[in-house]
Amino acid sequence: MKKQNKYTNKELAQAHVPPHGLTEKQKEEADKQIWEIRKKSLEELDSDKILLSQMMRLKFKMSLYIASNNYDEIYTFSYFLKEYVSSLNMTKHAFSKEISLHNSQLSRLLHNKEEPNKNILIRLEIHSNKSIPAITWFKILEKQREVELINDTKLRESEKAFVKRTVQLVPKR
Amino acid sequence: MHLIQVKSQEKLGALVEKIAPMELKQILKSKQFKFKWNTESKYEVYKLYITESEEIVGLMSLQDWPKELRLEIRLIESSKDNVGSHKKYDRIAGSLIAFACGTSFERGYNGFISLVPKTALRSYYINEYGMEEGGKSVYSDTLNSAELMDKYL
Repeated sequence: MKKQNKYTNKELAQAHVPPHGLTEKQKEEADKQIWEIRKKSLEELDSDKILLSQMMRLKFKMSLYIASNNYDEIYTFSYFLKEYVSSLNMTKHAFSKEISLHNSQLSRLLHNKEEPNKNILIRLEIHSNKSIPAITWFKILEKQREVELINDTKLRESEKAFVKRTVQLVPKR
Repeated sequence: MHLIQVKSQEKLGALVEKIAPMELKQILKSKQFKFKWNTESKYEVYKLYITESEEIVGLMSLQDWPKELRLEIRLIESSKDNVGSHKKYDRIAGSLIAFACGTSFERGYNGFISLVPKTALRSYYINEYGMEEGGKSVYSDTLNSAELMDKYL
């Protein structure tokens, strides 16, 4: 009650979704009502909404991976590009035509044999109608490079030959 | 995702992560949150924190209704320093709602989310977050949820 006096309803709603305060029976009624609406919404689901849902699902997945502190070798640019093409429900050939890439170049990108340049990242942004910005693709690529750098033991071994002296640090206990 | 520091209008990076019941107990000891979060442990509880300082500024619990392809926001609470005209950070509840929309898309629910508001607060969720009337609930479907994600995430 004290809170009600201290803050306006707008301020409360800006900060919280408080407990609904309904009885069990009232909540059951609320659940039935929203289920009816949900059923109607599913009936009205058209191809545009399905496509948008696929784009947002992919964007969210990419954003979560970019934001997380975890590295996963699976989540490469190629992985997300495959997901993107699959979300569009179109052939690779048709997709390569839509973004003016040669089939073989798309294939190299999809199999992690080639890194995309800025032009390709921007073409992907334009193709997705800005729903997945170029910067999101770029950050995925950056994280992929980080993973590769962290895990490249072979390069570490070969580069040792070029370092003539290492800094002598106090041995760790 | 970012919050706005009200005083300086500076953008601050923020993250949402699921929290374990043990961590929730520790958070509640801080006295920054007043709702009965210990009763939410059977649902999915998430924290919103500022990336740099790791300060937890918001909590949210979600109930999954897989047969209905729907997520229900059960509770959202901003920490006590973030309520009212003297709050430190803006966009806390909006960011958590948008995260719920993203989770709904991720699970194949087409962005559908709902919540049961208190009557007095109902119109605010409709006006501020574009939610629609759904009986005793308000809800956000595909198009609006995508817009909320674009705005807040």
